[in-house]
Parts: sequence; C-alpha cells; structure tokens
Amino acid sequence: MSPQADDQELLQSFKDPLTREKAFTGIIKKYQEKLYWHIRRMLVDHDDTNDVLQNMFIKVWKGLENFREDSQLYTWLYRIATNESLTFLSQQKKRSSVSLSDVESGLSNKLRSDTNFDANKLEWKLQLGIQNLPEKQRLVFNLRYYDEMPYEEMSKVLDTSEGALKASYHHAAKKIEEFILNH
Amino acid sequence: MQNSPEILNELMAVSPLIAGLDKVNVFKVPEGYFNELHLRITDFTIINNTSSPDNTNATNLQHVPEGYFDSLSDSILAKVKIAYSENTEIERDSALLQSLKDINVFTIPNGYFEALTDSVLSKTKTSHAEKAEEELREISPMLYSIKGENVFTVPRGYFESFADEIIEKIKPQPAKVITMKKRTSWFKYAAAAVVAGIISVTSLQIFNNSHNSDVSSLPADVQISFKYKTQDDINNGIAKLSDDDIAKYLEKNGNALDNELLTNNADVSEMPGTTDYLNDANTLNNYLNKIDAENVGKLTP
Repeated sequence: MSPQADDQELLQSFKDPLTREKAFTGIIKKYQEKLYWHIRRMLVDHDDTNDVLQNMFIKVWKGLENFREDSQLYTWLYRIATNESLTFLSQQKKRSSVSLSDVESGLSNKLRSDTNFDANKLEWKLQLGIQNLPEKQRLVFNLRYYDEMPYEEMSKVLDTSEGALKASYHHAAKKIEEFILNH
Repeated sequence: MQNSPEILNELMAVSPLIAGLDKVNVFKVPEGYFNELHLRITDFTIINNTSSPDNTNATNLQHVPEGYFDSLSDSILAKVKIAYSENTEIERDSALLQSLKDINVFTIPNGYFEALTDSVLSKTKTSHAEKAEEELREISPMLYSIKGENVFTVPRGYFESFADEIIEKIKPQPAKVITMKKRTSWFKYAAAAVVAGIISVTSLQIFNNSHNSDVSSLPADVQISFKYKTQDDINNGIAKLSDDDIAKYLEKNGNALDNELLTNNADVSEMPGTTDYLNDANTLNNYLNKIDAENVGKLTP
C-alpha cells in the first residue's frame, strides 16, 4: 500500500467514531519515529523531545477533524512538529531570559553533557556544527540531510521558496564543514 | 541574390575577400521544373495511396470518382477493423486457438497489481533520497561520508509504548460521580422553613436596630465599626493601633490574606530573576536581608 493511500485510509477511518482511536494509533505508529528524530535534532534532549512530541500529537488529535485533505498528512505533521519545536525553544529562551544564541550554546552544552560524547569523533563534531547554525538553517539542513525531504515538500513545511531552501542548505553544509575542520 | 546590409557588414568584418565575390549560383535545374513540381508531388502521393490502374495516367490524376473522399475514411476504417479483428480471424482459421485464447499459462505473485503502485512510489521515494545524497556528495563529500551515524539514543521500548501513552491521554477522563443520599420530602420542607425563619428574624432585628439607632444592642466589634465613618477616621484609627494589635490581627486573619493582592502590590523590579537562584544558592537570603534593611526599616515607626 502506498504511503499516500495509507494516509487516506487512516483519515477515512478517523472520521468514523468507532474506528477513530484505532486510526489515530495507526497515524502515531506510522509517523512517531520520523517526527521524534526531527524534533530531537532540534531540541537535543530526549525528555524535551518527548514532551513536544506528545503535545503535538494531542494537538493533532484535536485538529485532525478539520484537516483539509487536499494537503498531505505527512507535510502537515512536519509543519506542526517544526512549529512546536520552535515554540518550545522560544519559551525556553523567555523562561531563562537569555538570548537565542545562548539557547543554542545551551543545546551544544547538552550535547557535550551526553554520556557518549566524544569531541574527537566526527559524528559528534557534526552535531556541534549543526547546533552552531542559525535556527532556520538548522531546520533546512536536518530536513534535507537526515529526512532527505524533497525541496518541494520542504517549501510547504517551512513556507519558503525552493530556491531559498537550496541556497540555505548549501550555506549550512559549508558552514558545518568549516566548523568540523576548525574544531 | 542580395544580402541584407547587416549580413554583408558582418561578412566584411569576417572575410573581406568573400564579401567582395559576386553571388553566382553554380547549380542549375531543368527548365520549367518548379512550374510542374506540384503536379509531380500530387502524382507520387496518389500512386502510393491507391492501387487503381485507371489513375496511373498523370494527366487524369486530378480527377477522382465522385464522392471518393466522402467515403474514404469509412472504407479505410472498415479495412482496419477487418485486419485487426482477431476474433473473426481466429474463429475463421482455428476453433482450437479460439478456445485456448483465454487460458493464461503465466502466473504473477498474489496481489502484484495491488502492490505495484506502492513499489513504484517507493522507487520514486528512493530517487528523492538518491537526489539528496547526490547533492550532498557534490556540496560536501565529508558530510556525505558520515551521514549514517546517529549519536542520539532513545530509552528502550520508547516507540513501542508511545502510541498507547498518547491514546491514554486523549481519552476523555470519566467524571467523578458522587452519589447523593435520598432524603425524605419532609426533610426538604423542614430545612426550607428553618432557613426562612433565620432570614426573617435577622432582617426584623436589623430593621428595628436601624430605626431605633440603638447600637448598644449590636455585637461589640460592629459597635466599634460605627466610630469610623470617613477615610480620615479609618486612617487615624490605624495609626493608633499598636504593633501587638496588628500582630494579633495577622495571626488571626493571616490566612485570609489574598496572595494575589500581595503579589500585585509587591515591587518586583528589585526581585531576583530565575537565573539568579540557579547561579547563587544564597539569592533568597540576600534578598530578604536587603528587604529587612531597606523596606521594613522604613515601615516601622
């Protein structure tokens, strides 16, 4: 079954009160890992990610009834996950009354405090490089590098033109490479 | 033959020698060739499209039987139908082949066509991934080489139980049901009568008191309140209160003070922020000492 057809079936059975919960479980199971990693790469910490993922699915439950099926469920879920992650980061910033760059350095510190952290390993340097990027570039880089999302889809998720996204990804990759080489 | 001035100028710039040559056509065609060319072409086309021997004469080519073109499409279609009507042909040639026609000896895996869209779509998806990989390899071969590494870990079984947790959260919580004891109807009427009695006795008392202006019959604390009629009376009264009186009042009524009122009236500009508490364990003590020194000192006479 194609992912698209599958979504349509899930949405269809969500409309029926008798199969609603089962359909919603299906939606969660289908997208939980992708969305988890999308959020985790933005927030770094598992507990923060879990909070945001749970809240977003509760919002999805409430909003799914009004979901317009002319847009893709997959794109819609990524949009919500992205917005929820950004809201979380800005709330964190307000709560601690520090600037966003401090929040970002906080994310780098969270990485460094991981029990498996190894500053000499390339993969950890890569993560530090990603956290060193401005928020929007970080999102674009993650969606392309890890999720391999086509620019067309990404432009729907981030409300940005495909050209700007391509440029953003190129800049981000170059910046990360530079970061890795200098650290 | 003449060239436009631009082309001539261009040629002059490239090769003045060629530009200076006279334009002479060295090729020749038979006399009257172009005048009869259209007839030759028509001749060739009709010869190829019809087998009628009557039409071989070029001079008669322009004459076709009456209504020929009107019925041409129908006659072509009829020939095509006959040529491609396999049933007619097979039925005519071999009844055996006709009977075997619908038996398919080839098999396909179960649900092949149902899954075909899926597999095509998944290949499209792969091509998205391939495009992304190709792009990355061009931008940064180094990032491409470390792509598969995931440094983050997730608690064991997290994804297995996640959906159930959410479903549990979105389920409407059953409302707490409190069972009421059934009371007999006489109890309801008796209770109503008691309440009505209390209200009427109290109102009568207040009514009489206000008419007689006899404050001596009111409770002691109510009698005192009659002394304070203006804001000045109240301010003077408070000024006369001793610290002991205020302390006793607070001890007795402290719990009733509205926290929100206190918060609203507090001067927050000097209060420490969240981060101050994280940075220094003595933040609260320092702040309270400061209040003691500055504010409380001012308040006490």
